[in-house]
Amino acid sequence: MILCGMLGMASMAGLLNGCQSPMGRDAGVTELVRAGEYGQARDRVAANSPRSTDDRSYMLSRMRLVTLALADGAGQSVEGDVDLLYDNLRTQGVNADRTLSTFLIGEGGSRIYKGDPFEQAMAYHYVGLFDGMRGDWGSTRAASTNSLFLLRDFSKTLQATGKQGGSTTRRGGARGMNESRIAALGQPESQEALIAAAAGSGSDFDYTTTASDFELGYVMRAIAAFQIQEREDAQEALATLRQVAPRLSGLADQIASGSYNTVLVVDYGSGPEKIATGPSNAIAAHRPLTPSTDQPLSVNVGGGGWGSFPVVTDVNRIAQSLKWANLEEMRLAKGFIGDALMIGGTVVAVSSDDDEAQLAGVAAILAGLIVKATSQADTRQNDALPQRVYVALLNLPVGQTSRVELAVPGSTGGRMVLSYFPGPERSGRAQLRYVRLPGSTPQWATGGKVLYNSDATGKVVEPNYPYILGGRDVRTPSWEVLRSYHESGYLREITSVNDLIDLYKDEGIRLVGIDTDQRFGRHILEGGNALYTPDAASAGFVRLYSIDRTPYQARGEKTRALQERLRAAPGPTTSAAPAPLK
Amino acid sequence: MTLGSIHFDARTHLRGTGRDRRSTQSHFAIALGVACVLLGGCATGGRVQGQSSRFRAADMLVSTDEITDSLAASSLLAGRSATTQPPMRLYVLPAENLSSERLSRVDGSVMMSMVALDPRMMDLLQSKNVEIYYPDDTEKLLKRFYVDVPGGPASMDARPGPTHFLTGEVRSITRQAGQQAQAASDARSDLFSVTFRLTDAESNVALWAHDVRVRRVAHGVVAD
Repeated sequence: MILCGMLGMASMAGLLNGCQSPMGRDAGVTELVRAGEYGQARDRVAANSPRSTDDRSYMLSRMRLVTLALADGAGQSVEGDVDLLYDNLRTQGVNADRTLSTFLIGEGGSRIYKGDPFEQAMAYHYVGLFDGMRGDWGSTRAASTNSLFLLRDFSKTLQATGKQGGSTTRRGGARGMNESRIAALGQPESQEALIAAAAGSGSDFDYTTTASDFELGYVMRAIAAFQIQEREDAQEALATLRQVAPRLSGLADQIASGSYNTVLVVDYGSGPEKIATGPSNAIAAHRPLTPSTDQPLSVNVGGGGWGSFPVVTDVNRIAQSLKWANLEEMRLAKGFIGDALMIGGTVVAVSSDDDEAQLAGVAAILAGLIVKATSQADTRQNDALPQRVYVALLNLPVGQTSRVELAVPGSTGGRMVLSYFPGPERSGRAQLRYVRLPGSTPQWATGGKVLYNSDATGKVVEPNYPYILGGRDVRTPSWEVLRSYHESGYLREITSVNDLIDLYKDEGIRLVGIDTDQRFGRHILEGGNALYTPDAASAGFVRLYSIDRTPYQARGEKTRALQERLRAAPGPTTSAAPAPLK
Repeated sequence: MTLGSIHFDARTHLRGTGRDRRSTQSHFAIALGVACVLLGGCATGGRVQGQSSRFRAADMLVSTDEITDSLAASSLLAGRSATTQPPMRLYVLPAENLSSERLSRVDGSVMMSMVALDPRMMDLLQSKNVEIYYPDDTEKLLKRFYVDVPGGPASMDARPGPTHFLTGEVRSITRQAGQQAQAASDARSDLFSVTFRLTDAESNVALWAHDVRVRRVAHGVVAD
């Protein structure tokens, strides 16, 4: 019977897997991001996004979508998500120390998880990017300022426990802790020491608040403040930046000089992986996937000299820093580790030859197995984050496009050629652009070619008629575009823009900007059902237009018939003048 | 196998004296109780702080009466009538955000349209031969929210250029009560100052301006 009980316990522990983290990192998304396939990655994330706010992944999924959509140059597809993300992130506690909260209580009392502190800071940054890329520097400043929430400094707690000869003796225990020892600990060890100290004292985690060391927040706040003529705010941000990160003093000087008209934010690498470790795997820690280095970003504009820009923020660093620790997860870990200690003691106490005591001991072991099965730290995360962020300040010709080359020397991948990088439309405020460098170097990243006509380039290649009919044009239908087809000698039988639009609609294609500007998926060039033009200074633009695509497979009879006709007579029709447009 | 059936199995096994059964059952109950508590811990813990600074767009209230009265009394419109030529073509641009809070594109456009599309304002402008236009993306945005935009040429190409712009500039002051707050709504409020301006499109000279104060109230609950 004791054996039956043990078997029962084992199956019980197995059943309790439902209480554990259902997923960590999505390896598929990680590989797609590494390859620069941001369109496929965002489709995959969108398909798996939870709808319920009770799901711990609800906000994390939206963070991933926003991150990937910006990388793909399709920011307009996630405008609603950006608004939702900011509203939820902005729901913060106004407790005395003004530190960050991990949950908000939504409508109907649901608990909405907001992500690790560093994930929230990066989410604010991407919201700021979204607004800045649309010219709203004021909102960029607001988002950046909100990313600079106060952090928690636990070092004195660890030192004090060490001086008092702390009661805990776990591995990495707190005895004899001084600043250098604390600094030398890796993330899991420092967290374990802190948790052990709190468990031993029986109290909550004691900390002092400290100013943020999120370099990217200070940089973007300063830049945005200068753009809206808030010089005092900008100078304050730069002064703090110089204190927090003296290595960025040169960049701070450049920002203050104002001698740039383009701010280019560049992401590189894969952010750290969140893992469960420590006793009973109760501690959540972050393990780097892309190693941290201080390799600067090299930028070449129009074949001129190469400029160099330092790493602004290393996401590995802030993810692993105790100041950025997730208090909720540490409390849970403290609870599980404490319970495990208690149950272990109970098992020892009841082990005897007596049947009654044995059965009670079995029950205690059952409880211990339950602890082990349920204590694993939740490793859900925003796995679309980069490992590092650069900010490059450039001067580009106004009203023109330039060829811009980016490289992270000595890295895997980290190269891209953007051949249609637009300069600012007019003098005055700087423009904000964003590029996510892939972790590999796919052929499209450095080819520098443009093989399709888009809204950004206009007509640059032939044949100049829609891709869905066998041509190389993927511009949004308009009078101007239709006229352009006619002038090239094609599709003169189509005299109405509405007829052109109907062709796309018959194929089930969503025309972004005409019949939708909300959440949309992959481009038709990649087998998706959306027609849009990504931001011309994005990896999405380079990827879409730099390589030859497979011919479009028509669904409707009308489209197939037009394809056949154009294939049979590939040259332009020159016989008559185009019919007047309706 | 559920917890209940294990308990049942243990009971059927323990056919002994009543005192033995009670003693064993009490040990078992204690252990199961521990297990239940731990299972309850599968749901994440946390402490409710009870205060927040969450905002909703509906919290923003703009009083258009004083704006309309001010514009009506301005020297710009005072001399105009329904037959004054040429018509004034007034483009309404989204509000510019200089505040400490993010202003979404929707909020920025809605803020301006609440003024320009107010019935009293529309009557006033019509009586002065002023035509209102919105940028294409603003028009689409407003239509998405079922806001009727006054008719104008369908195509941007056919639309005449502006003679004047109506702009808004948003600044803010934040007040936070901290621990003294008795309720979430007392904890934090942001006072926004919105300055509406009507400028000449060619010279960029402001021909009329008026300030409006808008208060956003905080509500919601957070936990950590």
